[in-house]
Amino acid sequence: MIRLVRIELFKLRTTPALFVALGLAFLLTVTSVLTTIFLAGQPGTAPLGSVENVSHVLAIGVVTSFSMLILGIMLSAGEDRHRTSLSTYLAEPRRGRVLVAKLLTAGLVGTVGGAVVFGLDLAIAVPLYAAKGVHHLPVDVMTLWTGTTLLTACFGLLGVALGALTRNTVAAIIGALVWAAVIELAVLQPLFPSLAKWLPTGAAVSLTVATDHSGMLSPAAAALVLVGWAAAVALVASRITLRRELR
Amino acid sequence: MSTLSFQSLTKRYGEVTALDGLTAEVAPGRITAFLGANGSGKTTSMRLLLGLSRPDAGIATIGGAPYVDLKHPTRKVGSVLDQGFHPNRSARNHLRVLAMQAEVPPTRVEEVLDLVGLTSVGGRRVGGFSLGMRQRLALASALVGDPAVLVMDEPFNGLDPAGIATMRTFLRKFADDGGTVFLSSHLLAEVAHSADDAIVIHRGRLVSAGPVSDLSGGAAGVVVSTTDADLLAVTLARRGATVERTRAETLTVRGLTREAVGRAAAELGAVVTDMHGVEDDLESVFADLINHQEATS
Repeated sequence: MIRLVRIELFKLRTTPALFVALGLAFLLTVTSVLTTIFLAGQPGTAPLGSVENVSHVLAIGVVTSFSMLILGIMLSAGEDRHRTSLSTYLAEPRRGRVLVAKLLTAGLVGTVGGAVVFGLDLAIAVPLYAAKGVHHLPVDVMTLWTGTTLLTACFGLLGVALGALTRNTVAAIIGALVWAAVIELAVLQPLFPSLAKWLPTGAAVSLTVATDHSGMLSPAAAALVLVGWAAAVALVASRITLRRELR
Repeated sequence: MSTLSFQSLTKRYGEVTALDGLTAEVAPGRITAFLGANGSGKTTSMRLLLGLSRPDAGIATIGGAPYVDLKHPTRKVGSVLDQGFHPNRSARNHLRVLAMQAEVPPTRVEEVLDLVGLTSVGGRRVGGFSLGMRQRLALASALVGDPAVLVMDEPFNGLDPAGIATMRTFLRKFADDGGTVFLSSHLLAEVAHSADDAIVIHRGRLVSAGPVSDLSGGAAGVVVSTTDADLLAVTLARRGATVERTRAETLTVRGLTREAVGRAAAELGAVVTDMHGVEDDLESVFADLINHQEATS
């Protein structure tokens, strides 16, 4: 299995997708930190150094998780898109092992990527706050850091599972965005909040909220829920899609 | 030595039977061509052999074992199907992935790049490769694991004449060294040049299997040019020959010897301006086999 994971990491390193995803995450993070700090206190924004302001600065889970979701989708469905899946399955006919290797790879890259991007966020924010006279951040930074890291890793897993299920990068990405933005956030969360917190986006929010967790899952439970969703989708994919004839 | 074996192999896609009880063997040390019209089941057979599809009945084996049971399968079987390449990955990195999968040393990558003449462009993105370069990279991909068996679907497609000659020489040497080569092709003239054996299938059923020389030798004919083609054609047909009018004064005659055709012309007093035997090309043999299969099914 370690060999298969190393192969998947090598595949990632030798195409631009990983670097584009990480670069985009870095760029959006830097932009978000700078604008949130420099625009703090303007009409319609929270005061500099307030819980809301700092939470916004450190809320980069949305960026890292969706970057990793797309990377995960490309890791699995991208092989079908470019028809490299044929070579992969000729070398390792046990397709379930390939899927597990891709899940582990996405989890690993998501963990490192999430932790590093959050670290970058913090490395930019802390000196800027200090320069503006804010020397204490009124949130639990370690909990947020852990939550963002877990969230990014879990969305990587979800991406791989979705890609394996659909075998189509565009369908998987559009499907994921529609599910998150329309079905969960626009419909289920306002109408059925007690149900919505158990769904992927609801659990993701629980992992990145800085303070009040009332009505939400605890960060640990939310991480378990996300892993459970990824495992469930991956299981369905292995039972249905991976057994289909390769196109 | 790895013999490829198809035993009563059947594959259905819904109502369509793509392969209907195919039984055939591919011997090591020989180049075996797999012939059939489009949709006859060639690619399906190859995919079943390589474990990419599952048969509804029967079994396909390599050296006695199904592909999926082989340890390090790409070290035993190299295949050229319609595998794709990531357009943004370099040829060298593509082969490195395959070398890691086969657990062979990275030095093997340089060897196969050199073998197919792609060393100088190994660092270039595959997306910029021509069809011929992709075909050579596909061959390099099949050879990374240094296998004893090559399974190739249309390996000559996209190659220029020099590339075809190189491929032919390579396959000959591979087979002469004891390797098993199983290739499908629609370039029948090329197959007649390259292959030792041929397996012909039509609508998923075996039509013929054996040495290519047996195939083309069995349907020889006589081409005769005469000033009295109409009369000679009728006479020869009465004597049991199959006669085809290929030009105004030329007949292609099957089923009678050259001597018998000459005698018939002499008896009629027809002036023969040219007569020669002809060994049927594989194309017409192939057409005859398919027509015969159509007529009997």
